[in-house]
Amino acid sequence: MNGPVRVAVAAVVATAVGLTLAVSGGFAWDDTSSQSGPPVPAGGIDPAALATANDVDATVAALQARLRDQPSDARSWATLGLAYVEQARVSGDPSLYPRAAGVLDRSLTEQPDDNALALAGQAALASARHRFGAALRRSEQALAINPYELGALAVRVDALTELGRYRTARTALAQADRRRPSVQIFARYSYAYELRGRTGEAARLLERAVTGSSAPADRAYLLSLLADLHRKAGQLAASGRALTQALEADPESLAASASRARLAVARGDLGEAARRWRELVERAPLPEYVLALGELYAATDRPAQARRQFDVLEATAQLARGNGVDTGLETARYQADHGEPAAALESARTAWRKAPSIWAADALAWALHRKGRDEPALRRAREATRLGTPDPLLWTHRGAIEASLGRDVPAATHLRRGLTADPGLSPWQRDAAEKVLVEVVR
Amino acid sequence: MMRASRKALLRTALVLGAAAVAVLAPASAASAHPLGNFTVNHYTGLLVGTDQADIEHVVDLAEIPTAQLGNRIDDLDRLADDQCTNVTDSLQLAVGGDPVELQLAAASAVASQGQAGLDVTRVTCQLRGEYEPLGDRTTVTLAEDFTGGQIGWREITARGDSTTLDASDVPTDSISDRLATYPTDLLDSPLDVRSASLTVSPGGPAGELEGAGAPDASSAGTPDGLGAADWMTEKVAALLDNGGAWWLVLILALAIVAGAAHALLPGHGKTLMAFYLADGQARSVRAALRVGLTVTAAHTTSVFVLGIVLAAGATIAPAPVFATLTAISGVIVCWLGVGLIRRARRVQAHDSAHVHAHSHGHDDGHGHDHSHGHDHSHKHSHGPGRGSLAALGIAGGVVPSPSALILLLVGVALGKTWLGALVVLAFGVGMAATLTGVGLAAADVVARVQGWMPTRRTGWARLARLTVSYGGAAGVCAVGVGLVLRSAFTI
Repeated sequence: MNGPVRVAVAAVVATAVGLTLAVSGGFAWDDTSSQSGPPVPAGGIDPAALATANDVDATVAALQARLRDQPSDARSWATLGLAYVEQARVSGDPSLYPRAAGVLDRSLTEQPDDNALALAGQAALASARHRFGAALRRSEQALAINPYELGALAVRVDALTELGRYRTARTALAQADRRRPSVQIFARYSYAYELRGRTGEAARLLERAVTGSSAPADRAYLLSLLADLHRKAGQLAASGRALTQALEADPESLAASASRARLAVARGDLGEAARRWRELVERAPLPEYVLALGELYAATDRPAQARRQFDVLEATAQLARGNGVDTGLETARYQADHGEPAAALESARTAWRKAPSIWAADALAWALHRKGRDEPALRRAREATRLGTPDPLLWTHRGAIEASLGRDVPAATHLRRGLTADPGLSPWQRDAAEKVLVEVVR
Repeated sequence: MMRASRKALLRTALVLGAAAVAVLAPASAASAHPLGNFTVNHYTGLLVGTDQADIEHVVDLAEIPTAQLGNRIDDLDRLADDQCTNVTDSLQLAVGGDPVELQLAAASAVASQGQAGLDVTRVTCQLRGEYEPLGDRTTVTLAEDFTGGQIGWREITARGDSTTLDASDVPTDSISDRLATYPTDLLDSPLDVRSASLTVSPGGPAGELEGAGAPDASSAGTPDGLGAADWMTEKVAALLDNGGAWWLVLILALAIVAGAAHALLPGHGKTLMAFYLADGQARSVRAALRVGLTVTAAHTTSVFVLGIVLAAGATIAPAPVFATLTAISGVIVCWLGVGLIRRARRVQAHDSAHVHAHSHGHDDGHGHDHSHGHDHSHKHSHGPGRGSLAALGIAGGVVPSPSALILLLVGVALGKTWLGALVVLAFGVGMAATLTGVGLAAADVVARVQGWMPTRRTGWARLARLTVSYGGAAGVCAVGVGLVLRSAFTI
């Protein structure tokens, strides 16, 4: 192409990009903005499919090479799809999702029938993108073909849990454990126990899962979950040890770094906590991390710096709205506490409609409370706490709503329960809850 | 002057593009960052000279990292300085094992519209490091050491400038076009190259950085454009900014020359024209002029229509329009080529009939002199009529020349629409002049070749003549098909 053509193309393309997109109504890559945090636990990579590899990156490279030679190998395409989802989960790099989707489609093109592995891959991908309805459907299709497909078994449990169908999830978990007892299933059992407040069992199961896991990134992830459990139980030293191990296994682990920041808060070292959150936010500005840093600034009298983090969350919310996807629970929580309660209510309602989990119930309760609608808020807050989950915000929110309704006694009980649930609770949230508690007790 | 005009041109291009986007943005979101909304992507281009290295480093920040910049985005110059200072600190260049101190030579930042009304940022840093003249097979290493593991693309390329890279573990060309377009092959993992190791010897052709002379392309999708911009078009665009009658004459003269030069480039149907005019034996100046006028008219009209539509910010995408027009042009050329083949067949049929008829009377098969044959073909071959001459002109002019289009758009942007229009007209005149001139000259050559050919109606002479007329016709058809195919790929 000669010079002037390129010049004109520069002009024309600048225009054309806007134009074509305007005409087509814009396109949105499925990316992180549809997520409220790091992708959900263990994407369910099939260890049989990934053979003995303990390094997803190496597996990916091997599969890519193999598929260049043998592009009609449906099973390798499906395995590569699962591996991309796994890489995305570990690295937080969302550009892998469209790739994973393409690869899984390719596998289904090569083998449209009885391709349980590709369907399981699609289920894992949907789950990672927080599309739990689709994840559930896909995993059930995969299980109809192969009832022993581990990835599908695991994703089905995740999807049911995130959709708030806890009883069915429990049954699915027991079934999965009978069919394919494995690390993936232990980790999910652990989460099921944790949700119901049985943290001792949860920690024991996680330890078993850690022992059984070979991939460093997986190990780091499971150890971070274990560290969280230790911290919530007040065992700060044990938490620190688990995190040291986690970061030895995978120095890049986001989950471990986040847990380390929360541990710093638990130890009362807010300076270190701020440093660690800042580092994380630089690396991966996930809403969860940005919110934590913003609230830390807000709690330590640095309103301007807090504002800057909150502006980033505004941008995240704007992106999500622009993409027409739900803004996620972190965004709803941010909007309720630091932004527009009306927007928070809208976000929370969308999230609740899509996946009525206890977390969505809590977000909805809190947004309703901020809008002054405490009666319906309390109904949702009760739903949010119905499993007895030891999460601080579930309880402080319920307590604060009860306080607004003048029910001082349960309010005090629930506020205290929330405040003791996690020493790593965001200092801003802790201050807010303590203030309400002081008023209730007085 | 050169540099300033480039900038003016680019600015205009961007203003026009941005205006269109701004008009339409409320209706929809702009392009999402292909690598996700919170990636920070890095590209490093290394140019190893004999005693100094130039480095271009591009940082592409998607929506969320740009939002993280907060109000620093308001002062792009300072932002560029800060970012590039960081880059300077985190790049480690070593020649023959000795670290080379890098100096920041230039820094620039561009913000452009990303998704959902948010900005994205592109920072470009130019660094330079000097060292003792290279010896043979010197090891040169470059490593990036950016704090934290920011998610994103990381790419390094390396080239030599008066040096030769004996070995290099990085490519010479960026596969993302310096973070402008990210490849989407399902079997490629996003690039994560953080170091390069080369073996370099002095001596070799002069080289330049991949992005040399190119403007900062925004990740919203402006490709590198002005790298090798035609200086003629550039001059005209620069002159448009000035005033006065003197200028007007100069501008129009230059526009004619630019048009003439543009038409010299391949793909304007000059070959077609030559064959058509020659084979039809209609190589009269009048026919050629008619074609020339049609070229000018067709070209000016298509540039005007496209220019007006674009300037009005209408919702069309120019790239498919170009392709469609090219396809139309190709179809016309095909049609003309088929016409040529049919004509050649008629001539041949006539010839055969003659050979047959004469073989009865003359044993030696001789007899028809040149003028006789000429007369025959004149009577029976239906040389190019007005219709096909017009079609020829339209085929040559219907695809608007991007150079002319940009001149028009620059004129519009400068508030001198009439001047832009005049320039486009002059451009068309220049094109027509070249096309007719070249066409006539070539037609003459073809006719001469035909004239030299033996006129016997049998054996190799006949074969040669057939080859020329069919070959020409087939060539024309091939050009037409080629045009259609090319546009089909573009669409």
